[in-house]
Amino acid sequence: MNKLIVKHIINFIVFVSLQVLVFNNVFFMGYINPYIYLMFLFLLPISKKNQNFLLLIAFTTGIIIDAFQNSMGLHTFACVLLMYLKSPILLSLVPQLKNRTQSNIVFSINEFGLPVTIIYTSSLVFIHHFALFFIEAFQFDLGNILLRTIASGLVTSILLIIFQFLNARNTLK
Amino acid sequence: MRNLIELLNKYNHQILFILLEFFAFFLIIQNNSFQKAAFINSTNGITASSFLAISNVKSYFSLKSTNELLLLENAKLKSLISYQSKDSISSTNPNHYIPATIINNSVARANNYITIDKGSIDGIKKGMGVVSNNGVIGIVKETSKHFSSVLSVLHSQSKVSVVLKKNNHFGSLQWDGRSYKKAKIYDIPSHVNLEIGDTITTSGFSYIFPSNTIVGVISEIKTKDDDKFHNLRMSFMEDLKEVKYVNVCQPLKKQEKELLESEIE
Repeated sequence: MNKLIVKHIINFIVFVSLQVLVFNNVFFMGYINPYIYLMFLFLLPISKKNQNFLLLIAFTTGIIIDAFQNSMGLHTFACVLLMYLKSPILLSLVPQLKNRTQSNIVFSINEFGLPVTIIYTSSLVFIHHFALFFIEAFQFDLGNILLRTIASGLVTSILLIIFQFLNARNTLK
Repeated sequence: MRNLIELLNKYNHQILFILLEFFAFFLIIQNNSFQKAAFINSTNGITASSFLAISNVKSYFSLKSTNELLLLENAKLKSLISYQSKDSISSTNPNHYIPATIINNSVARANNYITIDKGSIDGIKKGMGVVSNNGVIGIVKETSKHFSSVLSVLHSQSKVSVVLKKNNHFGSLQWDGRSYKKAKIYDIPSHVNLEIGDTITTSGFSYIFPSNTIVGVISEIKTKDDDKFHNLRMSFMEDLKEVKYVNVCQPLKKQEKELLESEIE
């Protein structure tokens, strides 16, 4: 159990610093800014018992990312939303999980297969990005927001799926 | 009462979710108003010092082009000195300039901020204007001891008062959230004759920016016959993505001007 906690702390440090030091400076084609730190939130287990604690973790992650981007509250809002919707979306994709007795569900590409992973990852990423861009820019026109959401969402989703793939291969070994 | 407690117990997850979202939304709204102090921002110790470290590494890669720019600037200044006698350099609002280096910058978001490496200890205060050699950069939003965070002109809430250089008609410049190279200009009446390529400078009305600083040139005119105001876009002279060295203006007569204006009201 303790080993798991250490693993998540390391994940947190790695993905948040990757985001802040590298990906905050990356803009493909001018406005595509991948949010790789979401990987940390994806790797957290889904747990009925600790669900409130998980929301608070998402909240803290959001605040830290916001502090580095001067966008107070934006990422916090989107992260908490993502964390809240994680388990309902997974349960609706894989209904048989409801009968499972173990308290922690760790998502892995090996167990659920590629199609479920793609739908699960991209739907959560798009919800997160849409919340983010919509609140950030509601004074601008909607077409622009949709374009940014779709472009950034696609890149982030692809990166996250690749990361999950690599993660699954590591755990197999 | 017992039912209420049971209800709270049953839905504690949902309630926490809603509370956290409300708090996040409160932070967003609070941060939106320009005057209110944001308590977590990039002038904070840890974030600012990590930006400084990143910027130190990055600046090595651009040393060559920076040198070329400095040489160009030197040449320009020398020529200014040789062509103009002392009394002809007169601006309506004299300024002190505090040179600063940009250590963090963004252009792709809807609300962009810049962090610079000078703070209150160097004499920087909230509301001062930041300019570079080729144009307007933004307005100081927060200062800490050694760093300041600047509201970029590429922010949905920043407005700059500008004039057309050739006939002194004034308007206001505001970013429309699209390309970082271009912005919109409002409030220039449609009877004014314009051409693509006309120069736009700051007006200096607000005493935030020095007057007659070049901002950009008109790049697009989309005015219809029945419009009251021109529908204009301009492109910035400064490449706001690459800019590294800026000056913070300290207007010398701002207080006097504001005092006079408040007496009239």
